Amino acid sequence: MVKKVCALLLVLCLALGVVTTVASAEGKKIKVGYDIYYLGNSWSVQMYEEFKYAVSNTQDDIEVIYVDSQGDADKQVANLEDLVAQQVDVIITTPWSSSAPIPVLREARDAGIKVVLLASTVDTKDYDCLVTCDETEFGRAGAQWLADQLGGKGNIICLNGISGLSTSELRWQGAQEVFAKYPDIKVLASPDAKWDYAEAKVVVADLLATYPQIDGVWSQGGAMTLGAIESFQAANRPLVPMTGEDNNGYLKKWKELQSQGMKGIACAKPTWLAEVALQKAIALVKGEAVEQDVIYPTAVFSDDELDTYVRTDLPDDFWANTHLPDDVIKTIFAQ
Amino acid sequence: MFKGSLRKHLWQAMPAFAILAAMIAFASVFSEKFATYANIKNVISQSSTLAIAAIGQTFVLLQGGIDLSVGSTISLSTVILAQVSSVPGVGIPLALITAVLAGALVGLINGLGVVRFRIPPMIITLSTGSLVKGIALLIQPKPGGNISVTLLDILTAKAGVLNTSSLMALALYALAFLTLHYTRYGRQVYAVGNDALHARQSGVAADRVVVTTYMVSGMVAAVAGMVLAMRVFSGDPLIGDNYSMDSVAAAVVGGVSLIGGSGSVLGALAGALVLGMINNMMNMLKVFAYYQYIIKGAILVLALLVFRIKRRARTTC
Repeated sequence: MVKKVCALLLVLCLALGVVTTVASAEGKKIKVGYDIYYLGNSWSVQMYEEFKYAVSNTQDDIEVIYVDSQGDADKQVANLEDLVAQQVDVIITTPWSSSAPIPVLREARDAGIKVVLLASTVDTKDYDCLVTCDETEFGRAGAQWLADQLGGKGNIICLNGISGLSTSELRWQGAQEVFAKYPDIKVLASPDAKWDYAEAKVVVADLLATYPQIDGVWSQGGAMTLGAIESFQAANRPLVPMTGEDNNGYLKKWKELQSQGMKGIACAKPTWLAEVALQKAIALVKGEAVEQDVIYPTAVFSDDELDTYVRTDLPDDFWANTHLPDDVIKTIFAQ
Repeated sequence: MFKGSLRKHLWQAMPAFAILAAMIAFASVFSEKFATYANIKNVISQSSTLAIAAIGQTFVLLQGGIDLSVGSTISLSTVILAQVSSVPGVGIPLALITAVLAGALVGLINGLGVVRFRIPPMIITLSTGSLVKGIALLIQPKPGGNISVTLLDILTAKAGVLNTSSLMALALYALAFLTLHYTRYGRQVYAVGNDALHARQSGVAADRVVVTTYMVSGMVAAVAGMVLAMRVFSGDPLIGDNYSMDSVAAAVVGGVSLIGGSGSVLGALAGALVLGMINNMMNMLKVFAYYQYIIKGAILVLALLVFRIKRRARTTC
């Protein structure tokens, strides 16, 4: 009996040995360095989950090393340096600053590491692949819709993200391009509300108290539009056309108020960009040809399409434009 | 080797040095990539900015104050460099001088606020910090600008694992060490921190000492900003934000007392290296991000705990 067990074990060991040698002969593991740029809002969390889901589904033999930059440009540079020192094959990062990572990205590429930028970019072409949406188009699309709703005339307020961040600056730039064409649209104020629900609620309440006549709200999205709607309701002011993003909290509110004539629009930056970034990263390491700029057009959901995207069964923190299956989403936003 | 009070001040930095040594030993054993040339170079350049900022913070802490405007001053300095250093001809010296003068001015406002208007240091420095951040955002609302390539070449010129920036940090530490421990002014800083009233009665111009420490902090923060600007090759109105608290943490981990009067600037160096290395060490050991926070917190608590126990042991016997 003992002999049999020993023999069996020996055979198992041999088999394992053969399998592992075959695997290593086929090609070595691809080392992917993934920089989690920020986990401070539900969109960034969902994008990170989308990446992990893509990793669990990939057919290729990969190892992922995660670093966490916590929305800090300086720390991000340090993290990228650490990934270079660990000699990964490819780095996927979401630049927090459009200039700060440039020296380290150069260093990485000099060391033969491929660089994939996900969802935000840098000022130079120091990358192998950029996977994102057109942010100025995001700003323009909402602004154009608002201008049309108002017939090119009226007082509006604008809610921005965080001054100094490229996403915020580019969306605002796009919006300003449109508003410049309508001399009768007056931008009363354009404060930062950090894409945040609570922040926007306070800011809009203040603006409502200051300006007796507000005809429209241009919002950079996030959860800000939901905050704006609630402030309008709290102040007993009639709802005006507002732009937003595909944040489920906003979509649900919009759906609820649609029958009362609430007009809205949702621009969307998909979180599945992370999945594309992983595919491109693997392709780059395998030496396949990859387009340098993979820029998706901004998806825009209008009143008619609302029903397709709103998910009344899911929490406010969910973002509609995703490839994640429902069970994964439910576990992410269950807490 | 060292005598009297200096020995006591240096002794307080020992826990930080011990933890630093332990971290290096641990990481070298468990990660083959840690003790490599590339990574040592990374650790040094990642820690330089914080190490420099901690010098100024130490001056202020030693006299019993705190400077929470350091982060904004660093950001302002990067923005000034990004806007001015590329002006042909006079750009580089003009940018450096303007940045240091701006830092000195911030420090002067902090210092006068504390001694003239009796505003608590935490409040006045938070306020000027906010003011300076607003100015930096006005000058340059988003990251970018033009850093002079000549200046980049000068400040990142390599000497082995060191570069001009880290050598500058070392030189500033030497200067600060000599000033604090071997000059009359240094003794006055400690005296004011220990007991401002007694210091005053003994003929120390306490107000002047307080104001100058804030100015030192502001100017040193401007230098830290230069080093940071080179690292990220740009000006960024928000990039320094974390350095206000981190510089305090570095000094305190290094054994500098939060209530003033004791500790050494060399401890702040060890503290800055500990803080700067935690992140790198975790990345090299491939510790997942969420655990990094826990371990970082644990190391900080450990550093302060050792410091506490040692102090109690000394005072009881």
